[in-house]
Amino acid sequence: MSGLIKFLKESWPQIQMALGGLCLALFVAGSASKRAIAIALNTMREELRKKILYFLILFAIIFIGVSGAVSKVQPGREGEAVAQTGLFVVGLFGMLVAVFSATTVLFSEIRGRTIFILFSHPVWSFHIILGKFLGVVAIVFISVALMGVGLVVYFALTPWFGLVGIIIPAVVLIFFQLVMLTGMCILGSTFLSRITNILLSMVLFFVGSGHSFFRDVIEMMKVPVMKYYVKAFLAILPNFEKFSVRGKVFYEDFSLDATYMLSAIGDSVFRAAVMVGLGILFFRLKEVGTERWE
Amino acid sequence: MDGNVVVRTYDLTKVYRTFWGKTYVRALNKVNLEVYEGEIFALLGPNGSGKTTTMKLLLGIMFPTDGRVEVFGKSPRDVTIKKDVGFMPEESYLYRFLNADETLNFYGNLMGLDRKTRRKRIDEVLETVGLTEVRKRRTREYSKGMARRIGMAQVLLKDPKLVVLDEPTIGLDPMGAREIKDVTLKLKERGKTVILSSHLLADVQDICDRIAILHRGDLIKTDSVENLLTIEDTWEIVAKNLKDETRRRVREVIQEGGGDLQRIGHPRESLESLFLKTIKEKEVEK
Repeated sequence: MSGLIKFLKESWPQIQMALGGLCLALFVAGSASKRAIAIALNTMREELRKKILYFLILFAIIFIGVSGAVSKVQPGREGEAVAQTGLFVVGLFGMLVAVFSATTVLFSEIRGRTIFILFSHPVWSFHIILGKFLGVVAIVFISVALMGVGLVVYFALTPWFGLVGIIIPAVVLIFFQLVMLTGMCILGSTFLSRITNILLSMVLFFVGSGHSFFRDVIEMMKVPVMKYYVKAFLAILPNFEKFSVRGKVFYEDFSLDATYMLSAIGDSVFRAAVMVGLGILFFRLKEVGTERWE
Repeated sequence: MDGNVVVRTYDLTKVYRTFWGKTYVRALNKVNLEVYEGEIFALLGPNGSGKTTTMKLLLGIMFPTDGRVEVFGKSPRDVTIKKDVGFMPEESYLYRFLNADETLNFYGNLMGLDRKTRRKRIDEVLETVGLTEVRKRRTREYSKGMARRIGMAQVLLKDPKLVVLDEPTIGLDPMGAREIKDVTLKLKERGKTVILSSHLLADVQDICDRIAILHRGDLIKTDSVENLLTIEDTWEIVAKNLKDETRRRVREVIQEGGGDLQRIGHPRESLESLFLKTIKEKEVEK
């Protein structure tokens, strides 16, 4: 038994990659459905016509305003300071886009009662939830890509161009962090009210971003039962911290190698798939026609 | 009634409960209905009688508390039947960020229509509902009547065997209402089954074959319009160009035969018919 545990621990990155690959294949297979794609494109169009651009404009203003000031705070490491701030802003605004879009898409379909007509068509709950998830992921991708491109262009115009090689993989990780967050919000939207979903998702995101802090807390705990519960909670809660590497890559001796990247991406895709799967199940059991649920 | 049964309910009951499971309204109470192929069937009743609940149950949007529904012999939760069912809800719930073209394109995609068929059918149905001119305008800018037409257009685009219309003429002007009624009659001519709910009695009388009257969740009466509205002990004679003398003799004959003459006079046109005729004449003048 201990041998098996040891093997699992040692092979964990490879297991995460394999699980992620399997779930990615499931997503791709599910996306082959024309109906899921139609819903995803409609979701994307709705979000693009609503608010995403405002977030990006806001991001640009804040970034331009803050980056110059930050570079003066750390003489000698100006480039790293600006890159860290940029990645922080990409993560923050990406998180806002993911949370507000993912908690809205299903809610607005139900509140606007467009779901009634949707249900009169040959669509399964699977098409609706997967379509909504993919639509929001596309929005998150567009916004993170635009912000990432903005950052790269900014650095290309400065003497700190060499940092681009770190910025790009860091932005990729942020995107996959947000894929996981999107899955969590979509799952929440199948059984929670919108406000509760927003608040809970944000709380879980911040708690999940402090995984190592909570692991330290567990070590200090005296009561074994509490230790057990917190450990179980941390095992279920997505480790968002793994995807936020801006502090480690610039100020610690940490390299973003392929194994780390792929295992993190695998973990993200696997957890997102599990959460979307649960969302499909919950949504199938829900009665959308009653006012109470809305 | 002969014919294939398209929709059948067995002791259909729907109870709305509070979060804590306490009953707060019994929306439907052991309702047994049969709707036959090719007929226009109306659910009549005041607000809160259970019309919309019945429709949501037979679309699989809600689940029965007790009893069951069959649509084409299957559960309405069975997605395979949905390709044969079209639904226009009470309010035309539209994606406000899309225009008419995009809305219909989206529904066409959900039906699995290929691009060429989709384009052709969208052009046809927009023409039928008279929205070709405004097809590129966002639906949030549409009037209530236009929104209803888009609702009807997505039903027509699907070309289903069963059409469910929730209050189809509500909020429309008399001409819009007439158009919707004409489209409904055309659907019947093409062999479609139509279930509609309404509390506009004249509309129902105009186009429906059979009626179910609901009251506070109970099914009170179901029969054909003919049977329900015919007054068995009264007779009506309609004649043109009667002279005064002839009318006097008719009156005498009826009285001699022991009949109780209620009225002899000129028949009246319905207000709807008068309105439509006047508008049409005005348009011809222009």
